[in-house]
Amino acid sequence: MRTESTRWLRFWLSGLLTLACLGQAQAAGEYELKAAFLYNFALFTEWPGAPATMKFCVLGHDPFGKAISPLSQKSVHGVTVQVTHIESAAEARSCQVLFIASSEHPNVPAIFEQLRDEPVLTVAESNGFDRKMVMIVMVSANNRVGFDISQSAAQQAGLKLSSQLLKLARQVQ
Amino acid sequence: MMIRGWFRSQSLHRKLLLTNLLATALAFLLGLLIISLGVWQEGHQRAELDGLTRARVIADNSAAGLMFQDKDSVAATLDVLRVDGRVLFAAVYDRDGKLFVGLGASQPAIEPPGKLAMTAAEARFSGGYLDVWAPVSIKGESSGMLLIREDMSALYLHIARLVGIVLLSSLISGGLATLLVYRMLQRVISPLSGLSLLMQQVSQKGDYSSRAEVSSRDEVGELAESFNLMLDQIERNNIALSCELNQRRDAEIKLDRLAHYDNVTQLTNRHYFEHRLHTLLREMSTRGERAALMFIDLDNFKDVNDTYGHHIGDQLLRTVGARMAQSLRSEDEVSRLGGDEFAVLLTRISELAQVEVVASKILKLIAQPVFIEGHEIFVGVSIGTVMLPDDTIDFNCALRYADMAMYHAKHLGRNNHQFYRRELSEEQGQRLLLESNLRRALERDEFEVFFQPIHSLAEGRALLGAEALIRWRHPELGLVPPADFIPMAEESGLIVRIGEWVLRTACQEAMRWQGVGASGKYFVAVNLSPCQLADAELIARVKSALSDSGLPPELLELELTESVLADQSEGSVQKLIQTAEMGVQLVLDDFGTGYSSLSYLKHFPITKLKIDRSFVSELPDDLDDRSICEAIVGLSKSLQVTVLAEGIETLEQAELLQRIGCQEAQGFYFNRPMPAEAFRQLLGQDGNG
Repeated sequence: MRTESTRWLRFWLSGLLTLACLGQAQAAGEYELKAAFLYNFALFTEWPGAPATMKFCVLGHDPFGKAISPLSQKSVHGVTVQVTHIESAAEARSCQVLFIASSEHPNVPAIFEQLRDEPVLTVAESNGFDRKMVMIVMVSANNRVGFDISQSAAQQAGLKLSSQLLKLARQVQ
Repeated sequence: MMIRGWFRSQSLHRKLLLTNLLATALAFLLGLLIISLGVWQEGHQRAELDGLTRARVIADNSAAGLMFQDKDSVAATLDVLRVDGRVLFAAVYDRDGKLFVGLGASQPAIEPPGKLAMTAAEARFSGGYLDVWAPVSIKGESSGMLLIREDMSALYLHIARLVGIVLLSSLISGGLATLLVYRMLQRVISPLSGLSLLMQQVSQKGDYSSRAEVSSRDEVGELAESFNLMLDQIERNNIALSCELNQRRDAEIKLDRLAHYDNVTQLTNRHYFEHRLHTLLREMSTRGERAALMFIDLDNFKDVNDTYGHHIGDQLLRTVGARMAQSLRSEDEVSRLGGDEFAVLLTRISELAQVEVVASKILKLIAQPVFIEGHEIFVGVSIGTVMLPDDTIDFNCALRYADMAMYHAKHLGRNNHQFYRRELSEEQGQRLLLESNLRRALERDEFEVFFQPIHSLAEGRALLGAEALIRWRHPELGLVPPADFIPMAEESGLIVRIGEWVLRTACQEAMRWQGVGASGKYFVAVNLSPCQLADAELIARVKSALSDSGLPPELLELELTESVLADQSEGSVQKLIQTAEMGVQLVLDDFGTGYSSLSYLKHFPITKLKIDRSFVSELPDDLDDRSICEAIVGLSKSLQVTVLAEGIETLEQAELLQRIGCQEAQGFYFNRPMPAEAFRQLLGQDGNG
């Protein structure tokens, strides 16, 4: 059943994916916008000490595609942005910004645990996890992309988020 | 130039006021301009600075919103600007220049071209707006642009209000200043105007006693003081001048008195009289009055002077003058014209009878004897009157006519009164013409001497000499006979000069005869008029004529008429004796016509008698004349003088006269009077014959 269901799921998923792909194709701007947001979040964040690198890490299934590559031409606080894809949370420790793709959402608590005191700005999209464990959660609604902030998580990690950023957040916990 | 001319013609007061007004206005306008410019500039600078600051803040605050596409956030940020009413429009543009959020009523069509690369804010003024552009960025990452458009009209309104206030205040203060200056100027100018007015009054009325009021101690006050000093000086000079003028006037009055009064009689003098007559004649033409002018001449005054001396003569004049004055009415005037001549002016005469009354009164009063220093003196006057304006209104004519009337009175036997008549004028006029002609004749050598030969009646009828006879060769009338002009010459006294000329000419001519002809010795006979005998210089003249010509005195015979001898004055007798003593022969002319006694023949050293032609002309038929001639010849024999007969025209007359014993003869029978040249030729023939 499980297999069958998986099949069906896969079928549906593939269909969904197709749809999603279609949707992605239709709303190609959404991830470009989110990529830009990702970069913007970095701009409004202060890391303890001056980080020598500015690694933007994508954990899990990359939803951005090519939309994220323009970031590598930019810099944050004078440091050139590097975009990398990582497989495990352990790798995330050397990252300054970690995007947790939806595929990894179930691992959020673990990731949170693992990076509890690490100055890594964690960003995710959508729902389905404890909001306190991800510093910034981007939410699409009404054709707009908003975000929620977990101030406590950021503070725990020693990151300082700009008040302006906080002001723009839909929710600050 | 027009303006300059207009300005020059304005009063000092207005000029100063205008200048002041102009200067004040200029200063105010300049100040206003500077203040306005300052306010303008400062307003702009402040607006710019404020705009930039605000833009930077807004841009910073809206950066996150723009980045995260949060229009509400950006709008909220921009909404702050609503508080400022000056902000017309605010907008945030994204990186592509698209409007992200706009705020404000008007949506300007502003494209921010090329502004995306801007790193710093910019402010730009245009069209009454201030546009401030600012980059919306975070950490050097530009994400868009902010534009805030501000309305500058508030600033301009502010400036306009300021200008208005300054203008109003300057208008008020300018007005006040002008008023103040006006009053000040009035204070300064009014004394000047007062001075000017006073000067005009002084120069117009000539009143130098007015003085200017010195109201201030400034230059105007000094001017007023100097002006007063000048007036003092002028007034002093004026007083001095009028004093001097008064003195001069007094002196003139004195001089006038001296000039108008005769100091012997204290009557007015000729000068005054002439002036008075002039005035009278001038006024007469307008007043229609009648007046009489009398000339009064004392008869024989010269004799009184000669006899008693000038001292008594003067006293006589005084008395006569007083008597004349006594005879006149109060309005009449008597003046002494000089010598023994007086003039009387009778005014307001209505009829001749009035003049007659006055004249007879004068005649009567003066005829009474005058007693001076024991002498009883009788004088008479001759009065000639001319009626004015009946006879003339001309000054010179009046004098002449009165003179004529007076001489007429004298001719009529003295001590009487005659009115002027027109006939007098005519007679006198002819006489005057002749007299002036005579004078001219003497000057122009129009006289000639003719010679009538005198022959001996003895056998051979020898030529003895000639009688010099004057002829007048008038340029128009030809030869004028002596009878026509000698009486006039005698009357005018010209005979003395004419006579002397004849004497000298005759002597010189006679000198040329000597040594020529048969006998070589010829005499010349020259007539001597009573006037010449009266002449004090007679002896000197005769001597001079003889010595100048070189003629021996015994060859000169002077012929005298009986009337000459009638005046048996000591002087005349003396002169004749002296002449005879010089050797000059004296001839009694026209013998037998006189009526004086023969006794005077003894008194005078006569050497020859001349039988008058009236006794000769009827000879030999008229027995009476023949008896007279015989008597004269007889008389001359007893007196031992020569006898000459004149006017012999026939042989019978000559023979008769020869028979009765007459020695010499002249007449047409022998020769007519001839020019000197002809006589010289006759002498030449005489020598040959």
